[in-house]
Amino acid sequence: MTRPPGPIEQYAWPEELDGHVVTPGPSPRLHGYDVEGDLAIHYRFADVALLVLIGEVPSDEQAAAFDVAMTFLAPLSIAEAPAHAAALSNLCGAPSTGVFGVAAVAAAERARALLGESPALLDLLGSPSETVDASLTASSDEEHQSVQRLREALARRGVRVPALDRPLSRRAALVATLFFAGLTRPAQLEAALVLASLPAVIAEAHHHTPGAFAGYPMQLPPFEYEDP
Amino acid sequence: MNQAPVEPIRTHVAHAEWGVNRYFGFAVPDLLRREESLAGLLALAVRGRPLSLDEQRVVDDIAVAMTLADPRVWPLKLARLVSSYGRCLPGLAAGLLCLEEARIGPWTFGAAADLLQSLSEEAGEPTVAAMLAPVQRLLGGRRHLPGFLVPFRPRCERLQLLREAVIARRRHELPWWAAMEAFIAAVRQLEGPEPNVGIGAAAACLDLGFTSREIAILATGLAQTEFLSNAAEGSRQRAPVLQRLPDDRVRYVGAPPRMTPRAQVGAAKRRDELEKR
Repeated sequence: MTRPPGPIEQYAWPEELDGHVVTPGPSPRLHGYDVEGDLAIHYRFADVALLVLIGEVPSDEQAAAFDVAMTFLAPLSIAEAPAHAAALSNLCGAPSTGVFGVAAVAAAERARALLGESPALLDLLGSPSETVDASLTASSDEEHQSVQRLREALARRGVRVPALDRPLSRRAALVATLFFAGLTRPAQLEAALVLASLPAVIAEAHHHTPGAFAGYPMQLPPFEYEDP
Repeated sequence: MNQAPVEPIRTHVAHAEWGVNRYFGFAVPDLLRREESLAGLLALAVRGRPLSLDEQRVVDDIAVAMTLADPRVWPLKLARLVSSYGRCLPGLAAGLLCLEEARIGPWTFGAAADLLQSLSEEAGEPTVAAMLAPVQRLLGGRRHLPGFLVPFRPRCERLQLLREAVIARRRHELPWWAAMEAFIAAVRQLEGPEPNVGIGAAAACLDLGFTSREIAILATGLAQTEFLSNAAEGSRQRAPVLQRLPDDRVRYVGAPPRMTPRAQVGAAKRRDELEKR
């Protein structure tokens, strides 16, 4: 039985839903650019992904910086919670959408935590004259070497990111490179961190056979129960 | 290769044992014998200590009174959208994902508890007179009070329902509920926003001994039926209109049509070539 009108029916709501990025229809556009007749011909997918995130076609330098940073960020191993959780979901026999959902949520949580742990980093990128917080500097030779490889990879693409003149940690250096590419807001940076790692996380998960529970290290790490 | 030992993680939650499993210090059969309710299990999950059976009924009251599962309500609509492809749990999970630290929904009950506690501390005593000055400052300095604002209707029917249940259980004279009523009266006297069920649930839970964070988690747990009902029906219906809105109901308001710099260069070259011919 249909019920009488309630509070929601009493309000004059909009009749349409607004879209801000994608022009729907037979000839779709992204931020006003023709996808099939322009972007697909003149740009690579990474350029289009950056365009979507920042709203403008990136310069050649921005695109190269984004490409290099995303490649450096791509390997997220099974040791990391997103890949571990996604592998567990596949082990449990989850449908592929479930595996993908677990991977995406965990990767997003990791990205949020990484950026949340380093508010000094965003401050630093916003005010380049400030001194570098100790938490943002490289703490090992391996890290120094990785950041040097990042500088060299960027240089080979003709890009110099001024923030990398400082002795930044690997994580800070990669965020600084994304910042240089135009990703200046935490939500944009988080999106890039997730997009970069998701393919490896999902691929890793699908190597763990559904139902193969005996081969999974159930005591890693160990949990120790105590009555409250 | 010698592996370094991995430090164990201490847990109070549960341990799988031979024959009898443990949960927060209880043998699970004992929980069954003491007629632990679902609300009681939720409360135990959130704070690790049990509620008495009477206290569990209060949590039940909160869960029932706060029920508002209209599929048009934003987080519930979201659950419907995700479930429209035929699976229930992705919709449930998506709905819950949008709640933590959100501006609306049961997670805000924790912020309402924080507000009630800080205001009570500032007022010094739970009377309308004592609360007027801090409430005045509050209303002057903040755009939104957690636990207040009732959209589209004059009063929150859910708060009224909870109030009746609290009075019926004679818990309305407990410290936090009494403070909440004084708070509400002060806000009304100063023509502030109407209170909603969030502030009532927060007060009732504070009187049960929950912290603000525990209240946010518990309230979200209690709201699961609202999401589950929508996700379950939504996944059965698989409504095509949710999977894709009609074209004439979507309006693009972004950047106007334009050419990329590279396409402009290409177009200029083509123009030059045509002119040369």
